[in-house]
Amino acid sequence: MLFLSIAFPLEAKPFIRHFSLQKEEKTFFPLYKNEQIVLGVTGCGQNKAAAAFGYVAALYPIKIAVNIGYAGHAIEKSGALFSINKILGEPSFYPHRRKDFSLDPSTSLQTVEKMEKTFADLCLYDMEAQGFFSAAMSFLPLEKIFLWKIVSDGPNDPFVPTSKWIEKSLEKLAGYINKLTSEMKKEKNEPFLPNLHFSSYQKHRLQRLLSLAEGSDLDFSSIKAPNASTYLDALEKTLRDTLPNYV
Amino acid sequence: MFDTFYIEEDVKTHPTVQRYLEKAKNPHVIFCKNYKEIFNRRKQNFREQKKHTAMILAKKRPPYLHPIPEAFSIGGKDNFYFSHILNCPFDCQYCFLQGMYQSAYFVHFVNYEETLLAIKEKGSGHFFSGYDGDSLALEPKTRFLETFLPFFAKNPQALLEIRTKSAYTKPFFQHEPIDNCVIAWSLNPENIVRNLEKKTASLEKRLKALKAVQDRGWKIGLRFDPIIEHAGFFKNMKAFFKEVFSYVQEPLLHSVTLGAFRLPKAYKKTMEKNVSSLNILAHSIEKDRELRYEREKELLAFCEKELQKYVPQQKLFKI
Repeated sequence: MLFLSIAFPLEAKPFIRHFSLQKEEKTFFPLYKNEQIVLGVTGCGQNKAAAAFGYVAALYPIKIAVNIGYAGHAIEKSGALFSINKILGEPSFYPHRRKDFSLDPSTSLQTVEKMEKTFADLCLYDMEAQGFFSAAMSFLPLEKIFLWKIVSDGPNDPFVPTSKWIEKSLEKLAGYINKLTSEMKKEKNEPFLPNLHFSSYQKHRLQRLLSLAEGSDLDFSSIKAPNASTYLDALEKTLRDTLPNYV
Repeated sequence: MFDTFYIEEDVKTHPTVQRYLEKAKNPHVIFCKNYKEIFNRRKQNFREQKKHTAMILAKKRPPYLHPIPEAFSIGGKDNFYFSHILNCPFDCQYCFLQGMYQSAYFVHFVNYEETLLAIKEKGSGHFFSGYDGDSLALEPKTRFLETFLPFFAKNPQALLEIRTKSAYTKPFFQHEPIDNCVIAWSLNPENIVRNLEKKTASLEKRLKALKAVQDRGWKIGLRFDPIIEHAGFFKNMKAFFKEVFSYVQEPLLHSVTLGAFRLPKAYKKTMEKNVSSLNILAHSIEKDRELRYEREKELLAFCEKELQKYVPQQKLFKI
């Protein structure tokens, strides 16, 4: 599943509506879900963001995680959308940048304990990203963690509770989320598997062998074997004997 | 090719960095203190990063040269390798780089000056490039030879080996041949190239490139390392060697090396994550903390016998 980690209800509402997410009962904090997405309204602050990740990861098989929310900036106008390429700190974190998500400009971000007032550096300021990212790194590969932020306030532009800046970018963000969920589905589709128990190493070997046979008209169902190991050996022998370019 | 650049603060004003940024369309720059913050991050997925790769521009810090045991030499007594890049745009399924590195991003060490100084201090010896990434594959970006060839031309006691699976020859036509440079091609039969050496130049293109630089007067090397076990190995290798040596002028052949597939056992786990490598691993057994072919001796003995038909013994080196 894809986990959408969002701090406040007013940031979450547009996504709950757009993806027709249904509220889960008896959870420690509000969770909304459909078949592909679980959205958590985690509350404010990096500790809550981190704890929420652990809680959701224990309940659902999370494959991708996205943190979306408002952030402040010294000069950027409210409503500007960014992907985060660096979370400043000791140490700094560097989320993976995907070229096909045209959320440029992407930028760096500082996670702070209290709402930022001075905006001394030219970066975004939020209150959850570092906690979210640290926790997500314990569960997911780096390339499956994303942070998208929308400017909501600045030195001369105090924060006003509203969903309007999220609404403004909703179509674009929902498009990226759909792309991620469709990739997740593709990865989930197992290749042809005979009715045998394969260890994860054997599954990899099977995938490799089947990929070598792509485009050929070999009938794998004719290979009979009592267990996965024997099956793989037989399959490999068939490919070796049949495919001219088999290595 | 690259639009995402991670740049170490220490090299942000280096002319090479400026050149990258000027040439890139809409470069996306992220500054860092040390390339390892990005390159050595935890839980990276090599395969996933191959789809969205990035260039890290960094400063090489000591040691600039790494000693190589004499057993791996091509006739020299003092042997060193150095790296101007980490990682390779090619995608050889048997390559130890995917076991060694967590990241598929490229690192380009832009401060060549320090490495050249270290070579000058050694005075003589054999200096090998292309260990942590193909020497020539990123040459249009790195312009490694633009600096290194003139340096070696002025330092004839030192020998430079350039090792590649590309067919990129432009620098060798822009520079007069020098005696103390060996352009070494890693070669395998075309069926192995097509199946396992993804994104590399075909065997035919490599052989044509080899012939072209040789015709210009450059010394060449042949690297049959690693040889890969496959169906029809003996017949195929015999024909392969015959084809390769039809392109070679023996007087300009500096050296030939021969070695079989091997991989430090420690890299096995990382490589297992990369599905496409598993077939190679499945053919090998663990031997003295390495994965090696069970039939290694037999395969190598056959190749050596074949090579002796074309190569004088003093130019043939077994790894």
